[in-house]
Amino acid sequence: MKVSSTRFGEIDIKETEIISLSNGLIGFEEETNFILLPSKNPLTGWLQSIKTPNLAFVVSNPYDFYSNYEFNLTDNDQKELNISKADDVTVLSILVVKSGAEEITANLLAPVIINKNNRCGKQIILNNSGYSTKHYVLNDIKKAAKNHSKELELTVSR
Amino acid sequence: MLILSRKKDESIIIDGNIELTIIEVKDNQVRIGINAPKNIPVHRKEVYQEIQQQAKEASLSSPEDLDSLF
Repeated sequence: MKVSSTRFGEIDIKETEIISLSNGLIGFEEETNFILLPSKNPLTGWLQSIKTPNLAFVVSNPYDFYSNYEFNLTDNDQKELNISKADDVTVLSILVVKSGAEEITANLLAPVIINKNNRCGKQIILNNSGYSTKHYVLNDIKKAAKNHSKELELTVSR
Repeated sequence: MLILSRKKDESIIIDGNIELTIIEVKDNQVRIGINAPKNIPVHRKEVYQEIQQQAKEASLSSPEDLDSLF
């Protein structure tokens, strides 16, 4: 199927490549279907909406640059997403990249959790975790990018 | 908006399985107890608004912004 995207033009994808978030993203609840596109740097990718061409988020797997990241998935979320082990899961944090990449912040408070096996996921909020929506991660990402070549999981190659 | 008056220790039931109880009323602060099934997320509204705001900002990033990083 064809997906139009303001930033990347028309993209041909397979339906099995779609990442589906049951409740959408907080603030974008109507947006439930996305595709993960590569960026120049393997640490980051673009979570592109299937239905809204001009909607795309820069995302990154927080474990790639912030290895101390830690949270528990509630029993209920595990059940809902059909997750039985940590290996089933990939995590994406939404980044805000300021113009010219002078500053990058990561939302570690509300990560997107995806079951790799069926690409179904949801955004969760880590209450009382001490994490916020604005962690300054520019230096962490730069440092991690040096020894990182593996593409972000679930990325669709184009 | 539906507005109901409640006193301390009184409750409101929503949809048969969500119970909000007024635990304490002190000065201009009210403590509310919430009993809800585990699949119902409960959050302070500010937290939601902050996440919404972050997502809006994030959606404005452009590939050029990102490329200049690497």
